[in-house]
Amino acid sequence: MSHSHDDVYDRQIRLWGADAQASSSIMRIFKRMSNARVLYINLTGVTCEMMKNLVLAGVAAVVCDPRPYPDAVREVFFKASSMEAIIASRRNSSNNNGEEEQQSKKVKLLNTVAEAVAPEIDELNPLLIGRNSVEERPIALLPEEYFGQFDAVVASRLSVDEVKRISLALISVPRIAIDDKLSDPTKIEPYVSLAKMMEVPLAQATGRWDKIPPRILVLQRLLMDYWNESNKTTISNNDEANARERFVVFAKKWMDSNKITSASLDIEGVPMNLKRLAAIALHPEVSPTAAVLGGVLGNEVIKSLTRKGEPSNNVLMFSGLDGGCRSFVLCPAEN
Amino acid sequence: MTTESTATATSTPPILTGLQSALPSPLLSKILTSGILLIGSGGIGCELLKNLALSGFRHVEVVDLDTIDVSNLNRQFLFRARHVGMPKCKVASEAALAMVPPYSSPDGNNSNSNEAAYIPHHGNVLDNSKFNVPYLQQFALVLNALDNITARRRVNRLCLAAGIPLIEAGTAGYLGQVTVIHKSAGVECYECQVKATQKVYPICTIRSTPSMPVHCVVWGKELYKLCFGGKVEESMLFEDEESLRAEKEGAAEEADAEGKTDTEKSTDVSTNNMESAGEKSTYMDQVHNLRALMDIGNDVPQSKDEHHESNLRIAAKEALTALFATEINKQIGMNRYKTAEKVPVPISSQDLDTCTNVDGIPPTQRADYAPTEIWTPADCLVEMVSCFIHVSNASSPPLPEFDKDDEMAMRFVTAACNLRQYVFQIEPNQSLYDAKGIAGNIIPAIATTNAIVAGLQVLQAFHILKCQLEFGDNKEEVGAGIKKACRYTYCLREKTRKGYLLQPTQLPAPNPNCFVCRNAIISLALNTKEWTLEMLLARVIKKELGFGAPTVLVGGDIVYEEGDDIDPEEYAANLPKKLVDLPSGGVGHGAVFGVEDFSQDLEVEISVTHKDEWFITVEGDDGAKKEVKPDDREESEKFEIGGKKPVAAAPTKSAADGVSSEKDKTDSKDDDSIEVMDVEPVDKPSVTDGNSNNAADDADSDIEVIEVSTPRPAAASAANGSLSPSRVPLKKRRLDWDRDDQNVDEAKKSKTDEGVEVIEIE
Repeated sequence: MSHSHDDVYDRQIRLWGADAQASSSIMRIFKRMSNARVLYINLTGVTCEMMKNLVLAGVAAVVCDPRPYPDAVREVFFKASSMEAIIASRRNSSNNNGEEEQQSKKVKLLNTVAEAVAPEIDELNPLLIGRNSVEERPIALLPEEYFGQFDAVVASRLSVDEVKRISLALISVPRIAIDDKLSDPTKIEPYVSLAKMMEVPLAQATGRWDKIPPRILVLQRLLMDYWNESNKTTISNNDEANARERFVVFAKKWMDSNKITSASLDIEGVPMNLKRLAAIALHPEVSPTAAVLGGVLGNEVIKSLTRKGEPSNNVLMFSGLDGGCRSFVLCPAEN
Repeated sequence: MTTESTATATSTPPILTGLQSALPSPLLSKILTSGILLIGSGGIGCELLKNLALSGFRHVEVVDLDTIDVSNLNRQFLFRARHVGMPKCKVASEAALAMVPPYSSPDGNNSNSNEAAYIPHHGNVLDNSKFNVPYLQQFALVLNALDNITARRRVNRLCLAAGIPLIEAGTAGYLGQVTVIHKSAGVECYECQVKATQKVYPICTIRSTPSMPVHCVVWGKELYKLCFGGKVEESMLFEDEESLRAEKEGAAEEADAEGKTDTEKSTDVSTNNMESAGEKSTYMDQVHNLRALMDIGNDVPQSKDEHHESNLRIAAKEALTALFATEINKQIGMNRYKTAEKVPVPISSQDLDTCTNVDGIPPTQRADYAPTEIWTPADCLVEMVSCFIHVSNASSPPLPEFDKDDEMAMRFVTAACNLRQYVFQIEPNQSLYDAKGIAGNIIPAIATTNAIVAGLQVLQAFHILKCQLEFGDNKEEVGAGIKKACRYTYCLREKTRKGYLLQPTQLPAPNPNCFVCRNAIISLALNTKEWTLEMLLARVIKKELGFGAPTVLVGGDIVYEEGDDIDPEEYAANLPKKLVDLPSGGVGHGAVFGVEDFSQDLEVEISVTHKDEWFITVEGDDGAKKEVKPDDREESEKFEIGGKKPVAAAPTKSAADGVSSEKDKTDSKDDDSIEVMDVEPVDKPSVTDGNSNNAADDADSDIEVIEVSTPRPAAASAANGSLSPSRVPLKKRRLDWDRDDQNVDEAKKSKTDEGVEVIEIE
């Protein structure tokens, strides 16, 4: 711990111990945090918030997001205003069709999201400069063992198959042994693989506190399946109305085939309008909701990195409507 | 449909499309036009500003008097190293404004009123000339991102008086909470529940019978004042003949209470009387000598010759010997420790000799120094001497009061604290890092939790704006809507039984006995024949009840008044009067008098009970409370509000006993529970209270800390279908969250009954 580290991280180091005996263990926890690296695949509002929190806390970031900037991340807060300016100028350029603007548009398009945010990340916490990096290869080209070098992987906007591949890769890679008793990996029980989770028919996702499948879980599955099928991460303005119509058609069919009644989507007894849901599905991120979820997930990553506190297992849901955030295990019924 | 959506799409910045699709459309316009007042731009404040900017808010004013410190950078993410020392509100407002998406209204009218403005106010919210009821009424709502109770109470009262909704939040480490306060919603206000403020330690515990490290840290801070302060008499350790005589008498009374035989007592008293005639402090002469050598309080600066440093070392050795050996021996001689578990051991003369050893290197100057190491007695002495030399050689005088961010002050207090711990055999010893945490009253803080509560606050803001939009000027309807839509949300470290990490509950009903929002009568017990109006104003009316500019009425007549346009001389004559001697019949047993404060539109009645016998109570093994000995605290500490002792003034069991209990030790080692230590001695209210908005450091909050057991592996089963809470029920539960859903009242009751601690944070 250098002096400047001490000063910058003082308030959070105090999270892990206040007594003299804990000094050595504080150092160890601090080491774990500062040696850790987290891989972020495809940035969204939520994962940007997570990354901001973890980078501030001293956890290095590796960003893999080859999507074009800024089109792919309209809701991401990094450089929000400059991004808006780019979009605005492009809108003008498409109207004017001026050659110069065409030129600048091409230059901008060369930027990937990862490249665009890299300087922002360094600026958030200069103590991490040199430890953050950009992964330029697309996800499909990354070998299984690649994922094993990270302490956590934060992924978003992936197809179901891609997510399954990464989650499988993470449990199959042997972890590097560290000479530190506290760092022995602790298994959180029960472990349910992502593939197994996805096997649970949604209609059966009920439990002691949930007589019908939880609304947020239903929404999440619906959106995941919709994006998977439509294979689109962004919608252009002109496409908006058509896209909404397509979503409504898809949602109706999806509910039938998953045996989900519309009651599962109701908000406190008020029926959910599928057209409104379509608008949300196409523009799903709202700043304060992303902030809350990014904070909660950041805490869970810190718990697992420091091995202080038990991180959430399996599913975590947040509803911006009432501010409740719940975690539960989703696994096939034994009988 | 098609045209409409295209039209909105072109005028709505992409970053707001998510909001636009999630919220009913008039609400977005409401967001774009509403004025928001944000109090505090620290940890939570930075997160709030970002959320407000990215949600499209265009009219925000920010109040904060703080400047940026290095230790803010790990979470107050709008600040960079180059901003250290600059006003927080200014830097934060500018950074947030740059995030506001450009917006042109759909009708193409891009007038100046549409220009986004984030306005910083580098000032104190306690300043009534700037931040008052009419000022607040410009805004749709107020967001609190504060770090201290005084400012929170002030904003609470202003918002109640102005009828403006307040969204209050606090964090400590992983824990946090968010709530909404609004007069016409009929919900709990910030002051409905007693907030445990700062712990107060009886002077005798600090001066003679410390039993916990924190007592020694407080003593170290007092010693700092004694050695370096502008006014030596302001230190709790200051002694003159008068104070020594009073102490003697106190000791005699104590002996009385211990039930000595009459013969013993009379012998003791007579010896004491004999001694006290020519009694001299064991250390004050040495301290004065040392101060003079360091040029503190000298009218004419000293000339320093080549012998200065060795003279200083000798003076330092004499002072430290007096403090850590002679004084201890004297106290042992006074039978102070007859009943104590451990008799104190003075620091050895061998150790004290290191003071004059020019080769001694203080621990902080060694190559392998780490702030987490523990110093030996000799280390501590060398460190203290190096502080004296440092001050003597420095071109500017030392800070008159201890400051945790002053490097010399921190070294001095750490060394003094540990020497005292060695003398009284109090463990564990404190590293500089530990001592800083205690002395600076530092609360752990991390970016994640601030992000959570700030996000929740803005979500609550959406609910409030929606109600205002829907019900307009109908205050009752707006209030009812807020009560229905908004939530009191707890942010927890471990999941509840149902798996909640963020637990929303209905906004609690107000406490019918709240004097702030329910105008309830306050009952107050004190010695009306000893208390003066001045004591009452300082200790009770201002400190406990939070009045800023009080007017006191007895029998309908004003006996005291304060305010900008009021001549302080007018009622000055009443200040030194005993309560019973005040005009218009005085305030004696059974009297009811009024206090008003126009700056916060507050009016209360106080019903007085005369009480002149006070005892310190301890809880026996059977749980019954026993009165063990007379309360020897200052007269101004002996009072009760609302029939029971306010938490702030209650000495802890072990502090009162002067004996460390096993429980204290184990508790302090449990690093899974976040410990909050408030250690400002508050026997001199004017000192600790005056700079509260400033001095509470860069903390972010206050919080209700909920004690939850340490995590254990979950053995979740899938008994009832596919979903199961992913962890087993907590073993040691203080509060059953699940009851909140069904019965708020019951949960509230269990909250108080089962002793959920309410602790002031950062």
